[in-house]
Amino acid sequence: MIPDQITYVPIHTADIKINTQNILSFLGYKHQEPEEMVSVVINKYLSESIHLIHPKGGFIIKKIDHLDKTKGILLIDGKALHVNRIIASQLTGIEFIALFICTIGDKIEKLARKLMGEGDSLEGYTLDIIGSEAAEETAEIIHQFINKTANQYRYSITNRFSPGYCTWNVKEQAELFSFFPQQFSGITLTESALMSPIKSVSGIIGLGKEVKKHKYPCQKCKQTDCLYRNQH
Amino acid sequence: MEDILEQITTCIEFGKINKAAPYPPNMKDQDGADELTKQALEQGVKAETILKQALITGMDRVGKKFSEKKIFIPQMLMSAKAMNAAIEHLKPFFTSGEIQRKGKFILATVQGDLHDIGKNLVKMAIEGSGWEVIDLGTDVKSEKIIASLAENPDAKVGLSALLTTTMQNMKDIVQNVKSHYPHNEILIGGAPVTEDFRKQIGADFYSPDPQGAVAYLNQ
Ligand code: B12
Repeated sequence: MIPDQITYVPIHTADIKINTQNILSFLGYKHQEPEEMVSVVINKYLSESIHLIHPKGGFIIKKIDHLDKTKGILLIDGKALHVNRIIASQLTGIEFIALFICTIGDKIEKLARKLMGEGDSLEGYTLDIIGSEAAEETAEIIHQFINKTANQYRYSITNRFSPGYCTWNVKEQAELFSFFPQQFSGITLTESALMSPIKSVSGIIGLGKEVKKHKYPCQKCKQTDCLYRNQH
Repeated sequence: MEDILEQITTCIEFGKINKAAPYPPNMKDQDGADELTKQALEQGVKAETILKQALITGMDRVGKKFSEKKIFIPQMLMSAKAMNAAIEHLKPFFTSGEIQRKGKFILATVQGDLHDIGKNLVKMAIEGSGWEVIDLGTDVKSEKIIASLAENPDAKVGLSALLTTTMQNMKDIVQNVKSHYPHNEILIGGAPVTEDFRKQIGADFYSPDPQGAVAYLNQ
């Protein structure tokens, strides 16, 4: 039986691998080569970001009470998560659910804001994108760690799903956070469901003997500009 | 005079900030927007002429190339920076009232939301097109916008929100502001915002990007 306790995932800044191609594509270069100036700025802030990224996060694995796929509701410890039908169908067959939250801290967002304020907008914007990538990468590392944990108990895992994606209302961040102590990993949640630091990610991953990691069912969703559309 | 104005325009278009700036490589060691604007003023070119015939013209070219996908965000940001370097020299003329900008634009990220990168990009683009931007920052309540409108009764308003939850606050702000200032236009934007949502909350204009807002304000 998987222990029902919070696990901090040890993550080192060096574990965070940032894909330069993703940064370029965020800046608009999908097929074109960037100007030298752009590569110079990216490289400068990639190497600086090593001192600015402080990844932290963890998860808790809970046995689920019930998954109602027609209503799109997941019941855990008597609490209802209205994950909606798209996510519920992706969770088919799960016995446990891992809830996770993670962050890279607020140093990047602060410096990005400062640079922008001083008129160095290319630098500030590039650094902000690096921060977003680093936050996603932190979530990816936690995902892999949860996979290893699950495998120890001979469980497989699903893809990860976040409040605010795939029609799951971002307001339900409050329910997700209720499984963690206050200020877990230095993350707080505002009344408007915003995590602080900004570069933070939360979500759930299903565990079960028979579950599969499906690609995100993007054809069912209207959010055509989603970062993950047809990606994973 | 034509010549120096065209030179400044070129600096804005290609993001040549000052002589020391290495970018763009083909303009290395040449004077940039900074030096040329100073020289133009010394030669007696009117500040207003520099603003309208060089700076705004330069940013127009940039905006056009961006919409045609010939350039990307980084070049646009470099152009905005070159524009700012030139504007520095024009500031005294704004203060003295010798040059008028196109109007005032009050910009804010709505209550409950702390995202400001998108808002700052909007600010740069709108400033670059010749408007004065009053940036109220993030987590802004309607009272603050109403107070700013009391001081700047002709201003237009821009609101940004990045989460569906704070989009609801946007709705309340629009209704609140409109109840005090029904004729001041409100522009809205941010990742989850849509044209349907704009109609629903009674805002005047929505654009997925700053260029759309610039085009709307300058029409
Ligand atoms: C990168 C990113 C992240 C990063 C960084 C977050 C950040 N903001 O710094 C990370 C990975 C950390 C992240 C986390 C989350 N994210 Co996120 N994220 C994005 C993404 C892909 C890009 C956001 C961004 O930085 N864009 C760049 C900036 C410059 O763009 P922008 O702010 O939108 O501004 C531009 C325009 O909108 C416009 N604009 C903005 N304001 C205005 C105003 C006016 C007047 C006008 C005319 C125009 C305008 O001009 C700007 C320049 O082009 C968007 C999806 C998308 N494609 O936009 C989702 C998105 C914002 N995220 C979303 C969500 C849900 C989340 C999370 C809640 C997920 C989770 N549970 O973990 C968290 C929340 C984080 C928190 N602190 O609370 C949702 C929000 C909608 C919703 N459902 O509420 C989005 C829209 C994705 C989706 N589902 O479609 N995210």
